[in-house]
Amino acid sequence: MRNTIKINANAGKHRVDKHIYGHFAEHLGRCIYEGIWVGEDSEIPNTRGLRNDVIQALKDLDIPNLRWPGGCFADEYHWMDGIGPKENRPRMINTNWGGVVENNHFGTHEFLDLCELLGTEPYICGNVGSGTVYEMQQWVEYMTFDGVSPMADLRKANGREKPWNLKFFGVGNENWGCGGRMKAEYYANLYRQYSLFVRDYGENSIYKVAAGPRGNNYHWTEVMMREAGYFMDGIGLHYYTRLQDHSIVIEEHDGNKVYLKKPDAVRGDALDFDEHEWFGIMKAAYFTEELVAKHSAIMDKYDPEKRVALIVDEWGTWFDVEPGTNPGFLYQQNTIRDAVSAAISLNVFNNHCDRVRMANLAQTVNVLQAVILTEGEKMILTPTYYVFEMFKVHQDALLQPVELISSKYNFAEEEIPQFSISASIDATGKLNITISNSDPRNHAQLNFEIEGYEGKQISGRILTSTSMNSHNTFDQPEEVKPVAFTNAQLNYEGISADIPPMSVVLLTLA
Amino acid sequence: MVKLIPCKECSESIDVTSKEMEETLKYLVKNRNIELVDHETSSERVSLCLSCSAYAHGGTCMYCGCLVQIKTKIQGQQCPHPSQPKW
Repeated sequence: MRNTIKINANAGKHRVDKHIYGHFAEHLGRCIYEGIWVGEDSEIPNTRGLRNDVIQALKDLDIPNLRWPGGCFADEYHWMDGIGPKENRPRMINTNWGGVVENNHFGTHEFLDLCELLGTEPYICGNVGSGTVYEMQQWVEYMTFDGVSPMADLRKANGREKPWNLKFFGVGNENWGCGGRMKAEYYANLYRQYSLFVRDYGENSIYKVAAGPRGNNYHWTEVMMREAGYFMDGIGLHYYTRLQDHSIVIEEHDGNKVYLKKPDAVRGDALDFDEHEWFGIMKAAYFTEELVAKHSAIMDKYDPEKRVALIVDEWGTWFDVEPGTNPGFLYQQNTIRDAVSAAISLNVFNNHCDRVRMANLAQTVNVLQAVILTEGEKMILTPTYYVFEMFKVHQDALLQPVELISSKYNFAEEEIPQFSISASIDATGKLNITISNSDPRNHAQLNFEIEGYEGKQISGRILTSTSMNSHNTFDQPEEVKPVAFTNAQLNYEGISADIPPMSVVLLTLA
Repeated sequence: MVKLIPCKECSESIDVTSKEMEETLKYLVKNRNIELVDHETSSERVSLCLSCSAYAHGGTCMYCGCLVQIKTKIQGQQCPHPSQPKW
């Protein structure tokens, strides 16, 4: 079958919001502690307790925003525990993540200091599950009010004279589950109430995000858009790329859903897997397309002008923890399989950028589909890191619609598209095309017909490997890394390129 | 009516039984081709870990997230302490 791709470079209407390339750091395992925060007295080189190597690696990604403090952790986080002298901060139990002791040494000041060092927008998630309206209102006042008020005075007493710029605020997290086990109708009312008190002080304008559905819970989106759509800027969507749903889902009489733990569900090993599990992850990644399309269609009913954004603020692969590591820490290795699946998801987000305007990979360091892994003073970049590094050319670029007729990747009587593609024109006028090949065995020729763009030069980069489970380790940190891609040529129609199996490719036309 | 206990899918415990550790070691030997050190070496390593400030949650090394009772039994492993590896 001939793979044909048509790109009309005159038809771009929507920008790929840079915030699609956001990340998520939760108080879970070694994401915050050790992964980001090592403390001022650490032997690991740091700036005010924040490790320098991780900061530099994230800056190199042009990280646009960072979600914090959770996740489920946010549902029991009381922000006042994390301000003031560290020795006075209460120690608490992190009940969501293994019952570990949380000393609150990384709190509001430390997170916002991190964001300033990174040059990234903070995306703070407030506590609706077990927190009060008053508590949420005070937190926003503490961070953003420039004047005389009890909270602004408290901030100043804690060493920060000027308020911070706070762009994004999540009004709750997973309120259908760990955020309060609520029905959509109940949470919609709470959202209306809580979000009212997330105030704009001075010139700070807060972009308010409602907690969204889990996966295919379309009822949640329907109710939220109908009952609270007027009061939000975005609504979240959480979807993890995995072999099986790890929950038993019970649908209630009114359309709401309850999620129970499925004890025998298989997540699979992040490194030791066969092609069946490779295919399963690719298929799960492609399901992102259906989810985004269906949630968007519901949103279109209430918001046809697409003012409200769909914000995929938790996404990524989820496997069994690396054997021999603490099961409560969710530390998993990361292979070329993770990289290709991430590329599929990011291409979906790009192609739906009229509605998807932010996303947050779970999680930044040492947890789930991390872009960075640490061990003591050592740090490695995962294959997923390099996908974000290759795809950053799309940040704020003008999306160019792609018509793709893709060959299929067949496995065990099932089939999925072999290729996913998105294209955009950046501020310098370059046309960037990102491609994933989900087939671990077969290369294929791609023929691009490009209309409205006179390219004189083509260059490329590729992330691939010869083994499905290739990954980077602390002993071999550069096993999977992008290299120059030379199998693409300009022709009279556009471009022809021979794309290797299990690969992610960036083509740049200038 | 049965009592439903809605549970986060992500609620993994940090507590690991000795049987689970034994099974993990067997898995690592079979699937990751690791080799084990002798009992004396692993005991010596464990005693050094016990005196380390990164030893937490009843048996986890915070520098690498590993379960000390497993990591110390594996050949070729090194203490991940940032400045002064203890073994």
